[in-house]
Amino acid sequence: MNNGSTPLIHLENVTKVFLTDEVETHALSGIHLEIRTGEYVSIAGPSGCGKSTLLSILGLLDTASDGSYCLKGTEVANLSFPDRARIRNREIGFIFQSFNLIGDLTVYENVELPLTYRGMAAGERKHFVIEALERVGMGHRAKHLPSQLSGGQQQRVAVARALAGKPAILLADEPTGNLDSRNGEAVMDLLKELHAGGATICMVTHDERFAQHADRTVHLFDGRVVEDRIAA
Amino acid sequence: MFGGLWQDLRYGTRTLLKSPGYTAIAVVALALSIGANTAIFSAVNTLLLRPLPLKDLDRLVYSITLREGFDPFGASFLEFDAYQQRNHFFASIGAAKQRSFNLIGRGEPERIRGASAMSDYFTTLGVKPLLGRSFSGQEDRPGGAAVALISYGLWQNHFGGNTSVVGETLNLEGRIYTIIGVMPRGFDLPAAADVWVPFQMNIGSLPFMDRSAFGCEIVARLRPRITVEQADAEAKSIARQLEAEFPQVRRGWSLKLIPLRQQLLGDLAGRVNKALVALMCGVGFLLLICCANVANLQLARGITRTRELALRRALGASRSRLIRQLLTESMLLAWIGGVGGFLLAHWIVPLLAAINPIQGISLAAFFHDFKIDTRVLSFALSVTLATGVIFGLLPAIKGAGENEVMPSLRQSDQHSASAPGHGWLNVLIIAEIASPPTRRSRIQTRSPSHDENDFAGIEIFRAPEADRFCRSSPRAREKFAGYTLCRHDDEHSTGARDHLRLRL
Repeated sequence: MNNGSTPLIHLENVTKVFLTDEVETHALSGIHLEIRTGEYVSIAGPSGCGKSTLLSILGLLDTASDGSYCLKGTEVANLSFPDRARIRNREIGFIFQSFNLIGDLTVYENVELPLTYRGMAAGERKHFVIEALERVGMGHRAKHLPSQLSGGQQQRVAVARALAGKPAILLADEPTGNLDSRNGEAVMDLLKELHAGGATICMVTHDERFAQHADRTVHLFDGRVVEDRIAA
Repeated sequence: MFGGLWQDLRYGTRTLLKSPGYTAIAVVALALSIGANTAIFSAVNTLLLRPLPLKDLDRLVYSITLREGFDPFGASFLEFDAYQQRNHFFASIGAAKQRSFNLIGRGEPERIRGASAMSDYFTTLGVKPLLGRSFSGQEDRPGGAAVALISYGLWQNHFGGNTSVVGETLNLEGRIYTIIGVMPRGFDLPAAADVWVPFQMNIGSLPFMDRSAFGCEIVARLRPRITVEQADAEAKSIARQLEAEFPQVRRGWSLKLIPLRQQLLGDLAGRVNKALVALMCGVGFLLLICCANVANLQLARGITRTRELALRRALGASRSRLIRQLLTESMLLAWIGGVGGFLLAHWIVPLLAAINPIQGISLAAFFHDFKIDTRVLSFALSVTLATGVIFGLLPAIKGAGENEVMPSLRQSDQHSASAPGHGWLNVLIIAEIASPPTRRSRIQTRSPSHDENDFAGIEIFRAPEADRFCRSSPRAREKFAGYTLCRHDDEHSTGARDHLRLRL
């Protein structure tokens, strides 16, 4: 899927070291990674290999201990908290394993939330939210609360929330981890559809079956990229 | 911005409605504290702050005569004369003497309270008639015209509030007086006067015994930038001079100047002011304690909302935006408490007025009228605002903290971000910790495995406490299928960490 354009994401020699009780743990060591617009990348590897740490850094939820991170050609590794929040809001859509919908907000309000933080006008927000919900087939559930939905439906709403602001990239952290196989497959199909529609997706999974849905699989082991394979 | 505020308000309302117990406790505590503060402030306002129909009240002083072993006396014309001749700190001075009159010719004869007053008495107090005019210098001289000023109450009761009252006559003690003015509503100095006639006496020509007799009331207006203490020091110096000049009547007597408001409150020792300030501080402290308690409740609730707040940050909410949201929720709570407090104060204030130990005679219409006026309302609003900020700010700053987001988001339960359940979790944790060692011995150690989302380590299956808890609570039984104390090899930090998992 490498289209030869400027990388959307460019990591160079990124390391992440956790310090606890004077013990250093290298969660990531010398990661080089490029993700281009329109790619569907899965990051796979066993538990503890650094997948989620890498996703946290990609999503600007955590900072690298060392190295460079360019998002859309701009160095973002050392941005302030407010700047990171702003870029997260505009450029990154998150899909979490446990859906992370706010239980007191309706489906509509959950999807609207990142747009609210963007300072978007109410009319424009409505347009974006309805479009996103229709895209994941949840438009008819806009007024429901998350507790009134099945796990699979909640994850679709979470996908709609990630999509609503038209981010540069969707970061999915084990999006099927809390779903049964049927709903898991449905969510994977949805991601595939989104990718087919032009979305750039980076998904963390430890499930080899789901990793194969992506065009490209990056294997991590002990905090290092051990394989970067493009699907045939 | 207002759209966001509206959203925060809506969400805050839902959050409060979702926790009715917490909301009720916080609202009751806030209402009691704000209500107590508002009620006490209404007393302070009535007695110390509310304007009286006197100009620049803070610059008016009242002279009392003191002798050891005796209650304070009123003043004498000897002192008035001395003040007039020797004082440097008064801009003006006036005196009046309480009297009673038989009012004849207006229905049944009536005994009314009144006063003989110098024309300077009213100018010193800075009070002007509502209708007509005050006494002129000519009228105040011996042999001056028989004129009278009447109170607002007398005007209403005997003249029906007729504006053509000026020029009508009053028969007082058989002498006909022409009414030249009506004093403002509530003004009744000295004592509770309803009618004032000019003094019309030359003090210098009075017999010495009349001049030295106590019974007149002296008020003075201080010059600008002169303090009561300075004027009082000079009054004491004058008292010593009088003692030397007239030892036969002044030996052992001293003078004291006190603020006129203090005299009107019957508070010669100046204790009322201090007592009210102390009371205000007391209820203020009560409010602070309440704020601390509500802040603690907020912090405790904040723990259950960690994940929701982390999610909001992940979605792009800035720290200031989250603080605004949490503060909005606190302010909403404070407003509900404030409204409750205001209603409570509305109920308490008449009770306070009824038990008010300060029963001043003069200006009773002002000092006995405890009510919630604009100033009290402003105070209540300010206290409510401040309360919301005080108890909301710390939890808001803490809740919107800049710690790591991802670990909070990856807590592997399947609840929505702010769904209920933590209460049961807390109960279970407490039950587990509190159980004796023999019970905890049922904890089983299991070999590490990679099933169940790679959790491995120590597990409790059907711990007796959890089992009993489940059996006793249908809601818990409905919610949790099992309980697991896990040692999780955390990817985000080094080493392992323990936590309790609820299997849903």
